[in-house]
Amino acid sequence: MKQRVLWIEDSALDQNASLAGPVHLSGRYDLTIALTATEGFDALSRSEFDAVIVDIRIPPGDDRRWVDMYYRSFLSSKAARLGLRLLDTVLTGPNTLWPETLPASAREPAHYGVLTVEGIDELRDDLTRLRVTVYRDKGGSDTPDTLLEMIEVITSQAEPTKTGAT
Amino acid sequence: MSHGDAIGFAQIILTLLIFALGVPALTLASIEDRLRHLLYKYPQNRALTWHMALMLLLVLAILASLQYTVEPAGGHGTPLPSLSDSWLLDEDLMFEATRALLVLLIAGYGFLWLRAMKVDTRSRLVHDIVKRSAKMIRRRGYVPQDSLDDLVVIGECAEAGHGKEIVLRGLSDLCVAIQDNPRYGGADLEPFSHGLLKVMGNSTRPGNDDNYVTAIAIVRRCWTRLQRSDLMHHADRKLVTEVATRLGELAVVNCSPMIASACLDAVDGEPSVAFGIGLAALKAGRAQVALAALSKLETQAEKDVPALGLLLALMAHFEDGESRGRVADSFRNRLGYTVAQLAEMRLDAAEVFFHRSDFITADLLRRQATR
Repeated sequence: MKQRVLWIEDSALDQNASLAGPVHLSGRYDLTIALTATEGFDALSRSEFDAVIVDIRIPPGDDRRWVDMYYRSFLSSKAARLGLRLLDTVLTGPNTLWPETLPASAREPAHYGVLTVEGIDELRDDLTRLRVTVYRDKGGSDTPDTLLEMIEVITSQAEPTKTGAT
Repeated sequence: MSHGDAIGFAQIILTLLIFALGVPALTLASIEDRLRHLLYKYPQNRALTWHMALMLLLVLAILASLQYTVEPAGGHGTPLPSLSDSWLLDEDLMFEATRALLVLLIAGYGFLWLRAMKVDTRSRLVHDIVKRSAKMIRRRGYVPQDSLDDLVVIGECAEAGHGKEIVLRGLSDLCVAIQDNPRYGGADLEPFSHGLLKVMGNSTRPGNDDNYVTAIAIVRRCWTRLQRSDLMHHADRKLVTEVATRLGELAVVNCSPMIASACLDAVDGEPSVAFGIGLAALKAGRAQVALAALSKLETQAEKDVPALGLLLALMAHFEDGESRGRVADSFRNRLGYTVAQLAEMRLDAAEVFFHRSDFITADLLRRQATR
């Protein structure tokens, strides 16, 4: 049975799409792509994933809450950093703005990784606070296996938590 | 003002008149027939009518004001016979009144111009149609076909980007309204799905990546609502599946591979979507998308027999090429069946494709089964 992986990434670049190739060829993962924060959050609410890879600069989609955040950042996906806000939303639990109940695995930081153009220095504080340890710089890690390697790291680190939970 | 000046002035006014009436007329003439019909059908063309009427009045007022300022040709000091003579009115008063009218008309024209600049006619038109249609859905449970056709025409004729986006959002609102209506029975989405594909699949004006993201979200929302309403055994399930497939096939040609790959997840557990998109991707030389489709079918084949047939069929198309053949080999090896079992399954699948009139796939499968 394949492990389920969610990749929240809007990139229109063929180069990024080609990162998915090794994942498909490995035959071990069922990769789902979400193109916006709305789609990403909906996918996390709907299904359980063994690994979730998040880009930081993602568009809002059509959920008013993400759209408002985007507008408050003057329509700049760089400034809005909706990927980071998505991580914050799912990992810090339900609140008045986001009352949705997510599957338990969606609240587990070990299931998440960040693949983005932002440097680690810009994100370190936030990722430490959210306890997300898997990070790759899109520019720096230019090998075709980057995505596959990230998924392998995440699934291997998430496995003990899963076993512990059961 | 001398007579010569007045003639020059009159020529300027005439040019202005031709320009003011000609520009809207040319604008109207350049619009596609189908859209022009909508401009007359819905009240948004009032701005254009007001523009032309005000311009005419403006020119008439200027001409009238000339009555009081032009000296007769060759003469000095003798005014032209004026209307005020016949009406026995004070000439100064008439002059002031005409001037006031002129100022009012210029102000009115300016206001109209500024307003026209601010208002997006297409957005207003779409907003109007969606509002009327939503009201109709609440009252009767359906949308009049002509309103929906009008909405689709606007979307078809719009350029990629914002123009198509507002129509897609309108279609999305109407789909939500239909599916949320208590009378919805799982078989009302057909006109919307056709409309969505027409808006996105216009060969001269296809949608851009952002439009596809919105369209995929619409399909996914329809699907989720079908699931939540427990209406998965009704006609709309098949319809939404077909729309997802067709949208993916269009995205393969018009969009980035990420967007086309995202279409694979627009509906859950429907292997025909992955097969259709995968085949279109192979034909278009989009190997990344084709590989994603093959992988999706492989996942579905773990728990679904028809998906296995479609997986074998897509693999058969993959084998038509050396590198692609290597990909198909690795997928086939992972299936773990013996050669005899694979041959039998391929023949079964070939029969299915034969009955669907997909003879190319049927022949490929049969050839591989007997190889």
